[in-house]
Amino acid sequence: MGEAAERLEHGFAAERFAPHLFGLRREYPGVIAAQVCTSDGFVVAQAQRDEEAGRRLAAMVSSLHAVGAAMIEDLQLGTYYHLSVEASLGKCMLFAVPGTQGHLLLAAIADSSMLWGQLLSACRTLNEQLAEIAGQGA
Amino acid sequence: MAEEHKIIFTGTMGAGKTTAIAAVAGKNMLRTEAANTDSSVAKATTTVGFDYGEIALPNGSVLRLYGTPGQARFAFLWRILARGALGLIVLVDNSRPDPLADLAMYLDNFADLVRRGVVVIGVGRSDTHPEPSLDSYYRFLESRQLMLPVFEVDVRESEHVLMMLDVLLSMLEMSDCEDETHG
Repeated sequence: MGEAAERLEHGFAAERFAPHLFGLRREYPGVIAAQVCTSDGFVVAQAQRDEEAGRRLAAMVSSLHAVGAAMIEDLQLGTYYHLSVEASLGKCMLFAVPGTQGHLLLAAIADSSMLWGQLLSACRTLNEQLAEIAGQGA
Repeated sequence: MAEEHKIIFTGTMGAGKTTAIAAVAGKNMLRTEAANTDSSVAKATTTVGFDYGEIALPNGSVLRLYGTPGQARFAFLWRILARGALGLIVLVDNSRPDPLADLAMYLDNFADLVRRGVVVIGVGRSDTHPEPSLDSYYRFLESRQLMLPVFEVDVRESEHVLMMLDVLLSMLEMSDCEDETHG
């Protein structure tokens, strides 16, 4: 278990998330990186080789998620589901993992070969799997 | 004419940035806190995005107060939040192992504001941790050729936060006057 995973009160094991993250990358070659991190910016599990890049991503994911969630709350738009950012060379999507009281987040980064809807659908499916694992670990 | 001034609150995790903004901006404050999983700091939540609050001044101007996350992994946000900021308040927690090193890190990361001299430093928990003393802080700043005001504060007290903002606004006015004189 990684250092970040050990920090979690719930005891979520990185090993249980990682195969699903790698599975997303195998199934969709356009996915560059996938990560589960804590809402305060620590990596729990990731499917990417560059650990430093993963740490930076976790911090940015937690910030973006928090700002997005605060905006949704301020605008009274109900329950926050996900945040997506699209650019000329790729896109990223951030999700709160259901059933973790907002403690765990999923982030997926894809290049421009992957369609937005395709990534959204794949991430939703993955997020359901992660929620199930998180529920078992709680 | 009414103006808007962007002021940044920064400092280590637990130094009181969110508390300081809440003390003066009240209920309408925007928070982006997450559960803290870092067991080295005894704190239930931590800011991971930014805090935001406003104060309306009697002359119609508005102070827009932004609180940064404290941890260095959020340094990318420090740079974003500093854009367009007119002044900086650095909160230092005197109970931490090396408060002067903490201060140095924030002065380095907000170098543009420091260079313009529009920075106020608030030292917290000095009642229980009197060292470093204010003299030590001034000597430290002098060693970096900086002349910045340092105050012992309890950011739960709105008067203390307002006092730091007052001083900062005075420094901004003086800075504007100097620019006009030299411009």
